Amino acid sequence: MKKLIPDLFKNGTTSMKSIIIIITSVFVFIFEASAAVMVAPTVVFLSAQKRTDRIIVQNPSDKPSEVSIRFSYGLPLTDSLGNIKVELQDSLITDPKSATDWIQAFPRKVIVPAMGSQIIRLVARPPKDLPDGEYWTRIVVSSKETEEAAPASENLDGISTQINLIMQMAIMVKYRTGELVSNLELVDVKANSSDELIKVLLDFNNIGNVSYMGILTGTLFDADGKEISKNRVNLAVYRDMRRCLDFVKPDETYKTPYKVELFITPDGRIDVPPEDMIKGNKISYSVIVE
Amino acid sequence: MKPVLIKEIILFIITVNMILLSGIGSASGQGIGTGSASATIVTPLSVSADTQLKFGNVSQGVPKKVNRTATGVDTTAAIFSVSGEDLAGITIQFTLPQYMYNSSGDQMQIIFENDNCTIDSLAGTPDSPGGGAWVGENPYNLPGANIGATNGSTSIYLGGKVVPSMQQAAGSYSADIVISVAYDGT
Repeated sequence: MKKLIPDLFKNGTTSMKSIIIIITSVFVFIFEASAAVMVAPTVVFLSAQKRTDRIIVQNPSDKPSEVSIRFSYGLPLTDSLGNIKVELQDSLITDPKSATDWIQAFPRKVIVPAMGSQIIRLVARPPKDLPDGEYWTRIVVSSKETEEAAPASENLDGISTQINLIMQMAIMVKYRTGELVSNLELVDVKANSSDELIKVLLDFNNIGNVSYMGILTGTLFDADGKEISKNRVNLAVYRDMRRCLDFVKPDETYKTPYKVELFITPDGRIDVPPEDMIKGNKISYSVIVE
Repeated sequence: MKPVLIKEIILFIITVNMILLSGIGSASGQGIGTGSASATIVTPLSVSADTQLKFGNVSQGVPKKVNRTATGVDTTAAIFSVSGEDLAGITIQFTLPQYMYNSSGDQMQIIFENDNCTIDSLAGTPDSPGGGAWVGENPYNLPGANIGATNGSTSIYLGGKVVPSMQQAAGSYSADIVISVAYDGT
């Protein structure tokens, strides 16, 4: 168990770092959120060379929090309209790319004190002769207050109710081994216009052996080449995927037909440490809005 | 100082704190005035339950609904907040109960109707969501959303309805609502 303030000065850190942490701690202690949990980093990378790592779970609220850890399988999946979902699967996982059965976390249940934090250590014990590539699971951090709130209604002669709110965050864990290739194929693009929106549907196929991580940017132009608007999403393609980019339909001062220029790049992901990026290809494409 | 500004400052500082504690960020100095530094700034993902779903007094045989817009003292919609990287795509899933139970094991039906949830990425309130909010969504099938750009936070408002029977035993009934959040771009 770890409080926020101890160990701040152990590692010969800079004075600026110390100052920031002191300021932070002061603010954290005046931060009176209700039940809450905070997890970092937001993606964990393990490998044959680095089989252990850690995440930090922080409780910024003023009440202790009961935190439990489990692993689930859940890739970002999309439907025919490009809507994206991450559905967690706890059992009957048959995907050979799942690492759910052989990555473990310690501890798996802990009380994190108010304003406190807890390190959760991850250990990978992969099977032998694992083919080259990337294997996936999600570490699911669940949190609820340990002291349950009083019933919302104290109607002694009648019915009172209490809803316990449990928060879960599913953080992607990726285990890598052998020779790694990141390569994305743009299979098809369609751009349609409705009354209010311009929708661009992009069909991707991952032809590498790791998830393709990058940024998808779409820029909407009018017939004169004047830029109207821009849309950008972080992209993670594990197998095939249909993504949708929406643009608000421009007013009539812009000439039709509109054009959308698309650019996909592995560069610019600020949420992933550069040393953990397996950089793949870049793709540029233009499509006329029908 | 405005509460919103205070919240933003706190969120920023907590972010820096977690980065430093977790070793995600790295920095190096080479002397006063000539230092250099590099860092990977990763905003942690955070979920909080800001307001309980409250039904207030419930009577036998009288269904009671709390709208997603409710902000009263006795009856309020649940409010969750998700914070993280600005504009990052997130998926939100609820695991919702069908019944509430008392300590004797008696059950009372609880219903979440298919339009009683709002996802608000623009710092609104349950009764006045920000522009572009996903209003009146089905909590069993929420659309993909994103972290709000204005304050690095997205709010979810959830209402519900309890349906006590005419013979519903008096007492305190409880149930769990689970909210699961994941980035869709990692």
